[in-house]
Amino acid sequence: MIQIRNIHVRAKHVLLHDMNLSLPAHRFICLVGASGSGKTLLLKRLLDRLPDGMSSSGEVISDEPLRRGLDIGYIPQQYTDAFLPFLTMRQMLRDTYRAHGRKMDHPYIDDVLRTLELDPTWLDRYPGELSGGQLQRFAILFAVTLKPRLILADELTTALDPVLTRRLLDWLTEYQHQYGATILFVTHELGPALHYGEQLVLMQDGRIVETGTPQMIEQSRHPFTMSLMQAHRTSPEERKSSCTQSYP
Amino acid sequence: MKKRWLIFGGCLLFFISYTVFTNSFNTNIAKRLEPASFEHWLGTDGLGRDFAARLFLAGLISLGFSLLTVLLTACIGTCLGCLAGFYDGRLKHLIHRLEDGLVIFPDTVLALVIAGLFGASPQSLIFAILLIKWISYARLSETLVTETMQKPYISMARINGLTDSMILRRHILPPIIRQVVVLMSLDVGKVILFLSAFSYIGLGVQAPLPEWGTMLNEGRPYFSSAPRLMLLPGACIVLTVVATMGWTRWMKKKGGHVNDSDSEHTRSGETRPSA
Repeated sequence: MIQIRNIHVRAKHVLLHDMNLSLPAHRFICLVGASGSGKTLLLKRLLDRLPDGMSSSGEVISDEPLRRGLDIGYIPQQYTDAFLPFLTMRQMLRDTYRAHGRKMDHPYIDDVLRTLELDPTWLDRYPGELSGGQLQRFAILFAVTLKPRLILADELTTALDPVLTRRLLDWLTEYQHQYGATILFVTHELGPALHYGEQLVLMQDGRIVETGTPQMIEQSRHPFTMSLMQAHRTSPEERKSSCTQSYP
Repeated sequence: MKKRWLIFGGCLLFFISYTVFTNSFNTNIAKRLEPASFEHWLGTDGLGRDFAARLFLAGLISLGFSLLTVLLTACIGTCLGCLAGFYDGRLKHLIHRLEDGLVIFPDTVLALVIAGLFGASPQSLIFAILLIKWISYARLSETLVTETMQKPYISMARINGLTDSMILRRHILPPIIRQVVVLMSLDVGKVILFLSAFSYIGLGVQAPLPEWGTMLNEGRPYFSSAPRLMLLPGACIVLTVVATMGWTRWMKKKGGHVNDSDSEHTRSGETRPSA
């Protein structure tokens, strides 16, 4: 269990307002909100990697110590700059293992590569030789390399096609069950959150609006939750017609 | 390319064997100021020593000395600069204060003071150059490290639990080393000039060791009778410095970005006085 107590982040303005949240262990938790609601910032605060010029107060309490890399895996939103341009994927992967005094777990890596539909020969490529989608999948591989207990996934599926997105989220759920991990999945789409999430946290303007199970969220009467639900329920035909009306 | 290196290696070997077989320290007053002959390719100097052998040995000494000095300076400066850029705290302030304390001394004046304190020798000169030149390397590397530290891959490396030394070695040093090498190539020429100038006034390499600056000084009394004794060492200095400039341009083309006028890298635009 990870407890977020009175987390308050500010730069010139307050960006996160006194947040209190409990993240139960071994759960698939979805953090949902529009862009600019503070989802990524909350993840960065959890990682203790706030950008320069921001100050924070409050504390993050965990039942067991969370060691970087070993216990926390992070899948960044800006994955294109997350890799060293002058090292191959294999060299970077080896460094991650070496940093924790371990040897590369080849069967596990091969298994993850297969699931992520990544060719093993791409491990010998430099980041500049890979496409955006491939880099995003490599970011996922790096996050789960050391089988961490907590995975923070920031807008994981933005560069992926729907089929791979579904496969990947299925695999993350499987990973969560197999290794007893906690997944904190940040997204702005309610659809995957309702489908995969065991607990949903809704955020707006740096505040937590509502938390609960998908069923509770679906029945919520909170205006923000209701607007999200309405946007989610709108059929593709309706969306298309509204677009035609807006841009004739 | 391979052929060019083979020709260069062959010439080097040829000159080394010439220098070894023709002892450049043997004086023979009977043969002083002889013109070029089969026995002495560039003639002899005022003490009857083989001038070609001395010129080549002087070149080796000048180049070796400047390369060693620049390498030492770059190592010390880059290490301190990396530490100042990587760690924010007392160490950084200490390095900055050290830089500020030394930056006020013009390099020539400091070299003269050190030569006065410890005696005229190449070691004193190396020490003086070290004291002055490390600052440009420290500032260049500190700026580059600070820039690199803002990159998302450094943040990811920390999140992945990589140690400080690993991040420094694998993530930070490789991109900055290329620019440090460019600065080094610029400095090699400058140090050769510095050494020659100090040897010319008798504060650098001491006789009987040959050095281009010393040879210029030794040839001065014979300028009217044997101008080659001054012209050839002078030409060697100019050609070597021009060659190092060419090397710098080539290095820059390969990816370094150090400005020619920027070898005295500064933190906040201040410049070091030069004598």
